Amino acid sequence: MRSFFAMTCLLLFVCTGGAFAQGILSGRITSSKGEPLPAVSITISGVRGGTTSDSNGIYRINVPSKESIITYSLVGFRKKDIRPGSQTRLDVVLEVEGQQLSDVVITTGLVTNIKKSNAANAVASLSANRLVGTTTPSTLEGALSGKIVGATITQMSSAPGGGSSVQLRGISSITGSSQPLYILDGVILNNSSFDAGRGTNAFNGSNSISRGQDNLANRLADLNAEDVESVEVLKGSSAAAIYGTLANAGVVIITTKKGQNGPTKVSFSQDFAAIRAAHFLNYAHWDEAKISDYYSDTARANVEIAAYRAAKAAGKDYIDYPKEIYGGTAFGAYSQLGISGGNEKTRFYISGGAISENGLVRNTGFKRSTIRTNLNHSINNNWDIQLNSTYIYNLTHRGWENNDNNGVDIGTNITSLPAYAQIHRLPDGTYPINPYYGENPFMVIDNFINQETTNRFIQSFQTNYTLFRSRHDQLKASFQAGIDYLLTEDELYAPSDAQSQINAISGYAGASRFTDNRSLNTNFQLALVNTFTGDVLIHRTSAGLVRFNQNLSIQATQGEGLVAGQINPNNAVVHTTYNFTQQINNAGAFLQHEINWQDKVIATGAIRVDKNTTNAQYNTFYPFPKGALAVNLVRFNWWRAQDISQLKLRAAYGQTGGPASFGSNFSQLNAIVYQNTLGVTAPVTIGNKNIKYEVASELEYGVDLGLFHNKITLELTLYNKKVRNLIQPFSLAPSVGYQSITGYPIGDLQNTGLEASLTFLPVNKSNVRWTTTFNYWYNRSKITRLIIPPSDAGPNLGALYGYNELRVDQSPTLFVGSPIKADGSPTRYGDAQPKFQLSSYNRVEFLKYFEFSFLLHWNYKSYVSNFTRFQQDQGGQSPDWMVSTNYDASGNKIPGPALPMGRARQLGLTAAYFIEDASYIKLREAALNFVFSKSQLERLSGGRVKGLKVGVSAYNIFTITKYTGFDPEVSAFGQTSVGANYDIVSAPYTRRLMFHLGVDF
Amino acid sequence: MIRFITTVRLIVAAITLLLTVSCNKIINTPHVGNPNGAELSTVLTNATRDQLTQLAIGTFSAMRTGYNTNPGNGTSSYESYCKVAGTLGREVYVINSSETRWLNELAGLNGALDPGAFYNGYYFSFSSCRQTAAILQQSALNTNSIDSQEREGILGFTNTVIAFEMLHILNMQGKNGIRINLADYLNPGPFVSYDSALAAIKGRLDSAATQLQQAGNAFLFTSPAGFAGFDAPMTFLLFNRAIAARIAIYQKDWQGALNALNASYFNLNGSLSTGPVFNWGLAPDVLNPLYQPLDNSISVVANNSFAAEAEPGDWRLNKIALRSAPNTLVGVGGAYDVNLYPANVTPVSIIRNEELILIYAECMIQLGQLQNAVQALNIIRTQAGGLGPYTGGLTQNALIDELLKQRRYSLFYEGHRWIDMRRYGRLGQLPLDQPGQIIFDAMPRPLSEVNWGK
Repeated sequence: MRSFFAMTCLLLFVCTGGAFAQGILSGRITSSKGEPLPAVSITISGVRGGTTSDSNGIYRINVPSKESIITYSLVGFRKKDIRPGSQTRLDVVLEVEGQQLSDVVITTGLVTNIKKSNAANAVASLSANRLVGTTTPSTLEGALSGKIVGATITQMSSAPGGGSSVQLRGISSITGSSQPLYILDGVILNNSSFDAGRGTNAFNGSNSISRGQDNLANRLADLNAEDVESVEVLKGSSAAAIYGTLANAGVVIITTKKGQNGPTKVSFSQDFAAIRAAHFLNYAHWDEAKISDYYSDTARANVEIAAYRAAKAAGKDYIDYPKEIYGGTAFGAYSQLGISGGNEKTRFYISGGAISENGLVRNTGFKRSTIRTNLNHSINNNWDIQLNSTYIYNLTHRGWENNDNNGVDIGTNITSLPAYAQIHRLPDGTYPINPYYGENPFMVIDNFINQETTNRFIQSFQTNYTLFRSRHDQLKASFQAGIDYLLTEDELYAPSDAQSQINAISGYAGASRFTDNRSLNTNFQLALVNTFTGDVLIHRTSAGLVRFNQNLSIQATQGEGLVAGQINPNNAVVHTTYNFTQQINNAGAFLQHEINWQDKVIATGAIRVDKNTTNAQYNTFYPFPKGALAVNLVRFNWWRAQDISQLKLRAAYGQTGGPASFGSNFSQLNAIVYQNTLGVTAPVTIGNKNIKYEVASELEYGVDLGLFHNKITLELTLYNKKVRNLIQPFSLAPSVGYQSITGYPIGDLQNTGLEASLTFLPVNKSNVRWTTTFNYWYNRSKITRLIIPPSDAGPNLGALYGYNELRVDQSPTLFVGSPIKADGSPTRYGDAQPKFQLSSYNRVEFLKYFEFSFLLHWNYKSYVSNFTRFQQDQGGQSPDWMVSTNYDASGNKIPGPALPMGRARQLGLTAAYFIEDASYIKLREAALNFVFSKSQLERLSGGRVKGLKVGVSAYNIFTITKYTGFDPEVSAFGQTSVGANYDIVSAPYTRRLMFHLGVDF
Repeated sequence: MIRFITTVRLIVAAITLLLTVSCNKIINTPHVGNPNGAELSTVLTNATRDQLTQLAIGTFSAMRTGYNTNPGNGTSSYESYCKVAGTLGREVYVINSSETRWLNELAGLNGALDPGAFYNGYYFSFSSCRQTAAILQQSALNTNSIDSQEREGILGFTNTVIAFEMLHILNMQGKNGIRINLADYLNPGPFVSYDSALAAIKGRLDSAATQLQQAGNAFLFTSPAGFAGFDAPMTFLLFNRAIAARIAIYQKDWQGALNALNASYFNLNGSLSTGPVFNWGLAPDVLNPLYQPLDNSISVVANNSFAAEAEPGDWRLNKIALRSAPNTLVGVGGAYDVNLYPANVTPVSIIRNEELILIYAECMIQLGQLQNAVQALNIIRTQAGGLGPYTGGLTQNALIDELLKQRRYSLFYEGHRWIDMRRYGRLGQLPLDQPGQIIFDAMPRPLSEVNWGK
């Protein structure tokens, strides 16, 4: 094996023109703990190519001359430059480095990378270790939460199987989702949230305001975070300009693990989780006095008192339904098997992952299986290919929670259910009628179905070919193509003997709905890159063509009035269908040029031009320019301060676009059938014949500072991102019979913010090493221009609950609401965007084999419109319901005798009662791992086991907050950028305790 | 540097080659039309007869529900009209614990009404129906596929519908007035006062009558079954005049009302139920949004005074049904469910002879022909209520009391009570069922209208 390796090395060097061979240098590379370090990159200055160390840390390399400087580098370790002179054997010890790694490579173009130390943008980059090294959140966004400076990540509900919103540097669109573009190994991913139709009248009837109230899961939940090698986040337009029309909300580039050169490595990990509710709401006790006060109607009060007495006589006057429904412990199991390896020509990474996680509520949960194959092959020295394939199966039972108008969903149901109610399933299998609301929650838990199944195939192909190579020039062609095909099938079922169905508005009991969401994303990119390496300057020019196509079709069939026990809508009285098709094409070209003056000054200029079919001028190119400059002061010869290892000043400017929603130029007549005759009615909204994308331009500037060999690093960034021609429905006077012009450029907004990231080693001793990173960031948004009168934005549930408003010099995420002031404007309340966020990630390695890490996250002053307290009052559940008072919800004196608090607070309500401070401090993650000594393991196992890691971790461990709902991090309306922070009685959020076992063979 | 320039040239050359040779297909993006429905532009000019017929059916359908065909959520026009006017006039309470504003806001517990709340949904919904009619009218004027009689028929039909929809909005907005010039959606005319708006609506209805008289024997389109007997220009005119009579009494134009009645299907000896109705049907048709199952925890309950103040044995108490237990929320409730429509496809009467007889009775009272009034009221008392003849005083005031009472029971939950009490200045007589309640006299101008200005 060794000789084969040497041969290949030799061959390779002969091939690459190793005509100056002077001698072979070999040795072993280890960490300061003495562990062998595989995959260390070994390069010789002035010589192309290089080698890597094998799994035992052994390397061999051809040294051209005595003067050669050899560079040893490995991600996570401080780089070492050594001049070996005439040595032939050189053992090297690499030391662990601080978090901000100078050698991390980040994306600057569609085909080009740059060392982070030379980058002009603050691109957040997370390695696998930071993503899932601490604990294993079930989705990728969960793994990112609190770790990206400048990102606001919200877990929208507690339903199993995901549902998160990621917002980078504030608001980039009012109507658009403001979700970043996700790219996985070059494939533009679909991150839609598909609506199962639970809000239709046949089910919970919540759709009167907006779609997407289904506590939907966005499709990023399909990705297996364990397969991810790194995530890069291009937060603003200046970093993402090269992605053109698609990148207004930033770009997240995800790279999966690739095989390493060396013996085949088999890694297996098995994690288990115990999941419990993090917090419960008060569940009230009742007595006869309270019942009399609660029911205004004496006849009804008497009925209830009788029910209470009966319950009391049976010793069942306090049944803790919330504990019964949400109080159990759910289990999760997470398995991952990875096999990787390869040789000089071919490398592979094959993995399989399986997750099975139960929800708190019985019959809910989340299962996901993924398989992945990544292949890299060098056909010859000039030509390489890469193929990445993954197949995903995702099955989620999301349960029935959140907004509701038919009394079906469990959370809202429980708030109106008194503890003396007897609604358990009867021995005969039937469910008693719940006289307090629309449905018996046990019926929902046992028999309702809300299931989403996704089968997804993501494939990418990439090939690079060196067309031309000389001493100074290299011209490379690169082709990349990707496919993301998914079929998400939603199934909803409410049985015909369910109370809400018997009382259905339609009069037809039993409903089912099957939805197929089929999406095909295809994209490709053809590019040329020329690198000119001069004596002083390095020029790199890249140019190419890109195209992205998206086809989406949604088909739903609904049946109402089902044959008992049947789910197939064929067996229904009323059949309804829904069909929707969408096609978007985007074609572009780009040209980028970078100049690097000896790593001292690095300048980049680029232009992207894009056509997009959502523009009225569908076949016209629109430009998106970019320029960036970074200056590494320490690289200059005059630099003297030795302790300052990095001081970089940087500035970048760029433009991006945000496409209009599909159909913004359509004025569609609505088809209707009246007595078996077809009719059409007026369009609800009128299309805009001149629709064009929204455009964002951003200037970002900052400084990166590294002290004492980067043991202390500070990254400070300021940005100013302006979004012009925000597309928003242009509200018309409703008298005219059209609600709005579907999409109209109504104004501009501005996001300004600060991002700071400080990493240092508070303790760095041989037996204790503590690394800590503080991230601090804030974003301020404000509307700077508006051609329309102040108007509501996002879902407006009415002034009482508060809504977000567009008004010049005001934040578009500020809550406003009743009381309406004398000038007709609503009262202003708090902003949904936090004043600032601060997170602290800490990692302590101690006693050689232990690692302890934790992540604290502080979100200060973000506001939520919370319906929970109100629902609690309305249902008699508030702890202080019976305390008597003379004051209403606004603090005004109520005429007449004192009232119970729970009743009084329902009088004189204004939005002030609903808009609530949702500041929090969360201990998001903590983990303790024990890594066995490699040498001991190998001795004990006879060399079979190469690594063993056991650990325990926890997720969402505690939250300090004054917020009165289940969790301050909540959004009933999904991924909307504006009008997101509504809490319409969600279900308890979860806390997870996990056990990890990882074995490497 | 020279070499660098050479390579740049090389790249430019290569890109140009790529662009010219292979890229037309790669770089061209297609025009994507609407794959999901017909565009408005396809009917505005050169509409075919089929397209006009479809717009007419759409207009009939929109009269039922406005733009929203999903019953139950408060934005369907007629449903929302009955629920909101019903609550403001204390005929009903809408009890749904996930939407308490039906109850606490409309009853005044939170002070002034919210111009942005969902209960303004009727406003856009009626406007959308009016716009469907307006599109049909515009399409009929811009096509050569129909003859002049057919065109007059469409004009008469659409102007009647436009007037009827505007009347609904005006009833709700009351003193706040409405816009009446709506030809240009980007430049709608100003708000006008209640009286001017009513006059304009009446004027449009009258010109529609003239157009219907010039429209020959048949419409271009076949009307839905609910308009049987009112489905040709000269019979649709009867419906037009019935609405004119309703408007005339709002205008206190008692003689005008009598003239309109005489040109309508008003008949003292005829069936009370004569008149066009809205039909309903299974999907893809629309179900009656006012239908509700009984004894549900989410329900529209009758105000307790409706049963309490009824004369014993009034047949019209069958419009409500006693619940097994009263339904309450935020401190009010009711013991009876509204039970006006026994099935989800039961037709909804638009304007029937029963109301026309009551209009006649009102005119007679106002014109001092009290005996005629009593005779008409007795028809209602006996035929609709199963009650004995009127025995009260024969003064105008006493008869107005009796008239309002008969209207209350005959037209229950059809959007009349609140408007009747308002036009007689008797909103103060409506019950306040809990401390803090307010009786409003008009719905606020919707937020988006306020924002639009003027």
